[in-house]
Amino acid sequence: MSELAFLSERELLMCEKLIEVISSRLASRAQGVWTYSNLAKWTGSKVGDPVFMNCVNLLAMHPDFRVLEMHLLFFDPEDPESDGIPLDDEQTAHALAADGFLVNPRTGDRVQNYKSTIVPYFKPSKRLEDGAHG
Amino acid sequence: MDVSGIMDSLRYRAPWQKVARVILKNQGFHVGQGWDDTLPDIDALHAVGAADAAKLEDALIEHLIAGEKSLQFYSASRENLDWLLATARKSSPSKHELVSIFPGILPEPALAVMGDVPPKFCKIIDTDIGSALIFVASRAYQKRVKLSPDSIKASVAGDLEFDSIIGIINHRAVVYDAIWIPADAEFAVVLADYPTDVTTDFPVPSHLALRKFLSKQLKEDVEASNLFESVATLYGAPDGDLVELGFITDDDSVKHLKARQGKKSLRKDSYHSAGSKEVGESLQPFRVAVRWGRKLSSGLTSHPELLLPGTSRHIFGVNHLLTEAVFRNGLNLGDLGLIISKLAANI
Repeated sequence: MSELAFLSERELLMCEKLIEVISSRLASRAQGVWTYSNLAKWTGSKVGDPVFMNCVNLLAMHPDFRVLEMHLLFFDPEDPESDGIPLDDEQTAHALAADGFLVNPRTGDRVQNYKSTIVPYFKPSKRLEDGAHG
Repeated sequence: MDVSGIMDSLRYRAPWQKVARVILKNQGFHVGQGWDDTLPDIDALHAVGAADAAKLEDALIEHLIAGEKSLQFYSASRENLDWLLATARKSSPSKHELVSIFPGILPEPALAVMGDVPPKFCKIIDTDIGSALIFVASRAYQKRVKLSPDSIKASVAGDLEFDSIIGIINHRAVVYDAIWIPADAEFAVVLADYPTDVTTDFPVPSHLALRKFLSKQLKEDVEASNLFESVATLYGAPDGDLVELGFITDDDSVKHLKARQGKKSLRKDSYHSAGSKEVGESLQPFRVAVRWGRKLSSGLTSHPELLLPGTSRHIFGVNHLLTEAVFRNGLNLGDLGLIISKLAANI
């Protein structure tokens, strides 16, 4: 773990706890929905806790981990009954880019202030699933 | 009609992700992220050949007939339907401006000057699978739009703070209705326009006007067929993905399930499978939506969806008929034919 020396002791413990929760969910028949708030509940953390947030983001983004894959649901602001539309990989990449944008799948027009219309959730990465089944 | 006008009409009408981009890709056009990234520049539009422009216009017209509709079915003898078609082929189109610019659109201020326009006969289109009488109308409806609270904060008295502010716009739309007569069938289908952003009563004036038209042409008072029997048929059928379901069991509750987001059918949903096994025959569906995947000649897939919008009253009520079906994400007449084939057995 020497290459992870930038992590504090609390962060290392949180990452271990998250990996434990993720592994047991992956092995279970009922995986549940992997949202920030559910991951916080399952690890006994709080969503606002920067240590928790850093660790989830690290498990999704850091090239040494990438056990979680971030996905986005779009809730159309003009459709109060929207159940959320999952964005595909290309739409997600555009939405997460620094100068990103989002196109409303219904109208084809760019969504103003689109960040307030999307909600992240996670799925096991291919790497994690291969590891679980390998 | 030039390609620029065809693109404007398509943008005006077609849902982007599931319809417009598939139509454009299917016709070999470049498709990017949304309209702004897709619309070719003027030079590129001028370079589109007449044959390709004509094919795109045909695709647009098929979508205007079949896309985003509320359907009602009317039984009639083949002889009467053939007579109706023969009469329509001899009829002149209306001289109304909305008809003369079809399939183009007018800007909203020009529509506002016209006011409400009832369905005007535009043209008849004959294909191998059936014929369509196309009508054009114009109607106003109210649209709810979300406003940014910051943008009007200054005009609100006191210390009130709003999380969300909703505005209401009186929007006026061009309405495309049709009467579809499938080849060899003994029924006609009224396709009343039903865009995605309107209220549920929007198609009613079109249904009333076209039922009156049918009654006049067929010289008898026609009544829309009851489609409720098809709810159970579609629920029990193995094909398509069940994406919405309303049902009751012998418990005192009404259940609603939706599964449009993903690619799975509710028939394979673990919660529903386990529950339906538990309650057995006491499960009675009253509302279903099914989505099919239909391969196009280009290898792309369209995803037409059929909703039978029943309520629990259709089970509890006496003489409570379900006369409407809602057709979403239809690209063309092939999709329409598929949807109708799923209901035809019970007409």
